[in-house]
Amino acid sequence: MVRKYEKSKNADISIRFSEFEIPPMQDVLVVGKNAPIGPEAARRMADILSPDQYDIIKINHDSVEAIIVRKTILNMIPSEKLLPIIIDEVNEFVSINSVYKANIQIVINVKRSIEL
Amino acid sequence: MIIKDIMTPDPLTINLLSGVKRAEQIMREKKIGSLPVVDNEKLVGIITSRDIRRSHPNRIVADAMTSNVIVLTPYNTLWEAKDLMENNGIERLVITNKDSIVGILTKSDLYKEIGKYIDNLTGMYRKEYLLAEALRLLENNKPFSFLFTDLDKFGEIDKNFGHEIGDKIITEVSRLLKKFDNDKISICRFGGDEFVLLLDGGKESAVNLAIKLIDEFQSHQWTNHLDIHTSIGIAVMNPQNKSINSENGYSVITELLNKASIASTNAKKLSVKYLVVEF
Repeated sequence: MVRKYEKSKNADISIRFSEFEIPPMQDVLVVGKNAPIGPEAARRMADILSPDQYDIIKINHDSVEAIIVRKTILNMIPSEKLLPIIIDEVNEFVSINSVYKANIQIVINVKRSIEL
Repeated sequence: MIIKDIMTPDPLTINLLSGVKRAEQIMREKKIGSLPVVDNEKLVGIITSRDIRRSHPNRIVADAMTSNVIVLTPYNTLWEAKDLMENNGIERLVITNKDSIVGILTKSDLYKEIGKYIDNLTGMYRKEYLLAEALRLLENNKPFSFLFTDLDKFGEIDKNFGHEIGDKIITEVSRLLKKFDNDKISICRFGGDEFVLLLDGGKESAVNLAIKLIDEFQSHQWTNHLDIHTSIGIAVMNPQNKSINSENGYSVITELLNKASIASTNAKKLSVKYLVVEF
């Protein structure tokens, strides 16, 4: 007795829409030395999408070629204070082949006393 | 002996926003090792095959190129190009004229040409090198001197002991002279038993150098215990006294060298060790 199998083929499609971030990078972009996009290309991309909002800082590091930072962040914290913190954190996982984006939240606490 | 004669003219260029892959493709197809990088027709960098090997192929040229491009003009000498390449450890120079890229000069093309100006027996430069150096000193408006040194009775050595001993003596002379080679003194084999020293200095320094050379010849232990002496013709250039420009500079220098040669012959005739002429 010959047993017959029935074949069927179908596709399930699911679509997830979300808003495209402009620019797609956030506050900081860490560019690996052999990343597929270099710092100049990243800066131009950012400049086209959000003109004059980012600074490119080339650094001397084994794995990282440059860090691109939103200018408003640097208005709050100077680069010489911020970069060592970023480098210290990415050192744990950084790869020369990758580009990492990061979100930075800065809260400045101010406390003043006045004489009554 | 200027770059214009040996550079590759009108080199291909690439835009800084082009991809590294495109640069690699052009270099492979055209069998070239580098491309000057331009932005709005202005030179902004150079990308070499080494840069490409080190970069991710997805990158744009701007992120793979070398930004500090070292340039020269077509009218710089081969020796200036050689110094620049050696001092900066680079393999090629972009040649520009009034901000336009007019050529590219590779180290291999340069060395091939410079090899033509090196004497096989002594490994010393020929006179072309010295003339180019003298031209540089002349353009800097600095006093300088040629010391034309000619061995006494060298023809007799060749006749009595043969050319092999003659060549040994020439090699020994070149080694002795090379000891004087420094930032201020350049040396070449002019031809036969004639050598020329170019001194970045005026009459007094030239005479002191001549005396040292003569002493060195006298105290040296020569092959076959031969007694080798030299007569030196010194020609001193004081450029501030002359109306010299870029057009007559070369002829002024060759004339000065000629005067040094005649002074050497006259020193022999007068049986003096050196003779000075000023220009």
